[in-house]
Amino acid sequence: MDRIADVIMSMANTPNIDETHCPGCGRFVGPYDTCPHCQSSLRHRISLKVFRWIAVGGSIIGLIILWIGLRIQEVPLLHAGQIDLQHNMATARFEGKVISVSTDDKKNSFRITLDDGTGLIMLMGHGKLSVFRKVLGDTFPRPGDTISAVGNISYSENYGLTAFIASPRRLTMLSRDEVIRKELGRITREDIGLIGRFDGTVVEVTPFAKGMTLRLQDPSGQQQLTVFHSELKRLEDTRIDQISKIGTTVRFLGRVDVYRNEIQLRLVEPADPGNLDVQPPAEPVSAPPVS
Amino acid sequence: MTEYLTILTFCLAGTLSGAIISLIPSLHIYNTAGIALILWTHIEGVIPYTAVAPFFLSLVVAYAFLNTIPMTLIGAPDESASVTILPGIKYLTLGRGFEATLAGGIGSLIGILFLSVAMPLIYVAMPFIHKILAPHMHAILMAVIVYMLMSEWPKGEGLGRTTWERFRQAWRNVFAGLVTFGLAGILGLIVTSRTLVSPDAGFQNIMPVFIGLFAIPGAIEKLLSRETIPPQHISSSVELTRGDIGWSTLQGVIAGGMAAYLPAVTAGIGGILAGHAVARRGDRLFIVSGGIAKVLYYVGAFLLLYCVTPLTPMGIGRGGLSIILKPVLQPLPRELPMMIGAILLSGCISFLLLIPSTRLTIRLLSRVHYHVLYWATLPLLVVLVVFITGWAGLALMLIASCIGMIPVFFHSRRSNCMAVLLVPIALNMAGYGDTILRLLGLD
Amino acid sequence: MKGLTHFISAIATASFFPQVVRMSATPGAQIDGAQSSFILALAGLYGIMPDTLDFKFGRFFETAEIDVYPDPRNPDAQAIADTLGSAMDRAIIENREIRIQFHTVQLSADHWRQYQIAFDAERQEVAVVIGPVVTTSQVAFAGTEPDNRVGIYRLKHARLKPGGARSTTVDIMSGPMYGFRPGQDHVLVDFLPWHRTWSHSYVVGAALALPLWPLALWMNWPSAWLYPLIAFLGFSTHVTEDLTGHMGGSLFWPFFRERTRGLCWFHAANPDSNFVTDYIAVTLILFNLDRFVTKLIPLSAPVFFLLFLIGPLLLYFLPRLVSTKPAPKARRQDSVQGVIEAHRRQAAQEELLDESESIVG
Repeated sequence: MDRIADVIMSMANTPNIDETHCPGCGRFVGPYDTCPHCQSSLRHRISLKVFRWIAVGGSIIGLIILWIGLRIQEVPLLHAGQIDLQHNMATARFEGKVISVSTDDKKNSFRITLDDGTGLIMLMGHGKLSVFRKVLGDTFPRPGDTISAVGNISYSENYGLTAFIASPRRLTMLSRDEVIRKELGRITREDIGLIGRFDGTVVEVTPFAKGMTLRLQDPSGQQQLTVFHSELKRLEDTRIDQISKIGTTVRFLGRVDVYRNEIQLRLVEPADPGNLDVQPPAEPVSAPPVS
Repeated sequence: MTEYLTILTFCLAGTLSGAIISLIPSLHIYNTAGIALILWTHIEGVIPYTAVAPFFLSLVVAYAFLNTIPMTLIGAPDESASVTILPGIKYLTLGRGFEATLAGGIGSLIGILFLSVAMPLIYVAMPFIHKILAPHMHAILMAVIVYMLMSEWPKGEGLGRTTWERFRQAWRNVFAGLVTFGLAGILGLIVTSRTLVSPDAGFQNIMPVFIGLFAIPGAIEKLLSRETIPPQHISSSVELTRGDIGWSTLQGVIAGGMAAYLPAVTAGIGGILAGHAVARRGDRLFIVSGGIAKVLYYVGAFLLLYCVTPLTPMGIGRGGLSIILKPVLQPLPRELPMMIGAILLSGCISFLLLIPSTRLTIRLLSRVHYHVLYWATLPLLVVLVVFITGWAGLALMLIASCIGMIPVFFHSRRSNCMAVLLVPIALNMAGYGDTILRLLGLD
Repeated sequence: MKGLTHFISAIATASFFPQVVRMSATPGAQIDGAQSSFILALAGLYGIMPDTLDFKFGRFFETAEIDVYPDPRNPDAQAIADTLGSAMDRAIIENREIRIQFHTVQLSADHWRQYQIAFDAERQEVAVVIGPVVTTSQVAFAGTEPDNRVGIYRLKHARLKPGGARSTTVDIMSGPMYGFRPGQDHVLVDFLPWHRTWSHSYVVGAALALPLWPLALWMNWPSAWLYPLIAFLGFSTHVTEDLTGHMGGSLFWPFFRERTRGLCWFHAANPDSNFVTDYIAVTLILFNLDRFVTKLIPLSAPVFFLLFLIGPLLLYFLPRLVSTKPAPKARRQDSVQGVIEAHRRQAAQEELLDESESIVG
């Protein structure tokens, strides 16, 4: 039995209503190429088909051209000083010197302040610190570095001018600021503002309300290192407990600072494992029992 | 007193400007609001700082009310209503376009009253809800995407001799929906990674995409249509029962609430979800709830910015207007009563304007074919895109238009085009932004 | 239940697993075990899957022995009624299942011919009423009904059980399929016989969920075992919820193929049962997300549910609790019966007229 037509209705001698009806059986077929009832070809119905193909083909070809165009296009360079309201939400490239870097391991976020000569811009990476550290490794920006970064501008009354960086590959190191190693006894007032590598052994710990002052010693002399609790809170490892023990050796990236006319050292981004290394004192060798 | 009068004046100015803009089919308020803000920065002093938020808020309130006119009478939905337009068109076919427009307006008025009354409760509850949901937002958006895709059922009859023929015929619209969603999603991932538009037009870099996805295909569809608008009856009453209002309020508040809070979820998508949740049928229900949802989507979303509490010290930034005003606005909770006053005033005036504006439009449509309006709008949109975003913007608009035309010609859901924002936002929130950039080679 | 209800209920079920809730949080939110997982959406996906399998796939693989394509230009109600009625009779005579598919009548891109199918157990009749032309928005064009619009077939062998068959209206998109099977003393009528069979089985749910385990392992997702479990629970939530309706499901297909009858508490499209279930699910999700992650709600569980679940639901039902008006009846069905009654009255009057004419003439 032909299962298509148990109830065959009288279709003969009925005029074709319009081009949306099958010329074969006269039933409505809508925008189809082949009648689903009698399988007649409906090739004369091309007008709607043209639009359909423009829609589908145009979308796919357009997306491909757009993608190729964007791949070969350079992201335009913008200067902080020229950024206006109309640049809000734009993607742009910034180049300049890193003024400060702030990281937060718990929130997995970082903030880099960049000076491009015309003004300051904040580069933010929300929830991306670990990815950036993993990809950039030793080239994760430090104060003094010159970098290029592509970010999405966000201009807000609350946060000011910010650019969000989506990928570590959008951050390029243009020139690395050489970090010098300085002995503690040779630090002078001329070094204020200097960022360098220091190491020494903790010989004295003086706590205060919001932190502690560690007196460090190396063969050349002594210098004090001020550490705030807020800085230590960002460390998630054992370095927090060890740093305040006498005899501990501390190697760190630090900045020469001044407080109440006295030189002091401050940690630079201690959350970055490469910037702070804390070695506990060696176990004291026990004396042999006296008989 | 002077400040009060200034704010009042700018509320009225915003309402009137919004009302005029709303009557132009396919022109979105966010495009004009963005341009207005840039103009404001260049001619500072014309609108005093205290009146900026009330002015723009009134602009959007008027749009939420009066946009119902082109939407119902000439079928020009914006992205918020592209799925809920059908009942309005049904009324228009029956010569009841005037009644449908007013029913939508009544819905918007209910929305304004709801916001005014419920705002204190929203102020207390939303920070908690926001804090609870925020860590899972990517999962919520993915759930919305999954539901949108899974709930589009085959529209075809499933005719044919073989299983495959029946399957192919019935799946045409579902497949077109999936293709639309996929292409719009890819477009979204590309344009949110990088864009052809110059940084100087960054504030409107998504405009060509939205005009392309929604306005242009809608206009082309109408221009291809041979349907005529039957004579419309100007009624002196609207067919609504207390039950209609009650159920519409429930459905509209759910739809608008979701659209106001969830990123990239429009009132239309919210309408689909709320319609399924309330599970009641009826055209009046859809029209009135659509009006409520639009107000919550456009206006309520902005008011969330004023939920400045210890849990949400920066407020809850949602909606297009928040993004536009973010660079110049620092919301303070004490300004919330003023904002509620502004929306009440603007909402009531907009409703009063809706009645004569609908009459005027109906009279206009009886003399001028709606094709003429679209022929006038299309070049206007193109000029606007080129003027603000340049030829690169026009190229983007053309690509987006092709994608937006797929649901028009294959009868699938237009809301699938919202994948342009839903997909990149959901994936970025989940932390896949870097991976996507790498896969696209746009890092 | 409706698709959204199944979808949200499945997510609510998944939210009872603390590990699932923590997995679905973003790592930036400082939550132990946070992985930005989409596992909650997976629960929703499997929650809606049984109906997807039926309506998007299964129905196209099910063939009917009889296809009814009414003539778009001259629909014959009597011919359709005869085909329907004789199919029911044949099911009894031939002692086997007979399936019949009714197709819609599309007249143009936006116009359709409506027709209604009614079963009358009292008179042991089936009736077909040709309706007006309607638009895709289901707006009827008054006066477009044909003259001879009612067809009635008196069943000869099959016996209809009261309430045993569902009448329906066919207009836009696609039409329904009926299956007729011989019962003990009456004909069994299955509405959409391809629905809630193999797709609504716990066994199929498990089979569809299991492949997620190797996939999760291959993708190196932590807690890989949770993915198939949550998917299965989402699927099972749907199957179990559907038991509250009339149709039930083939719970252990392929081991037991019979479609069991549901508990008949609500119809699948009942707005109250759907909304209440949705609301309970959303409240539970919010409560679980908070208790497993944020811990912000400053209320005990009973107070929370009293304030945010019981209270709002009382408000939802309050207007009907205080209302004295009776619930409205299904208007569409009334109108079909009305047309059939009017047809019968007219036929009786014509018969009387014929008789009187023959007497007078």
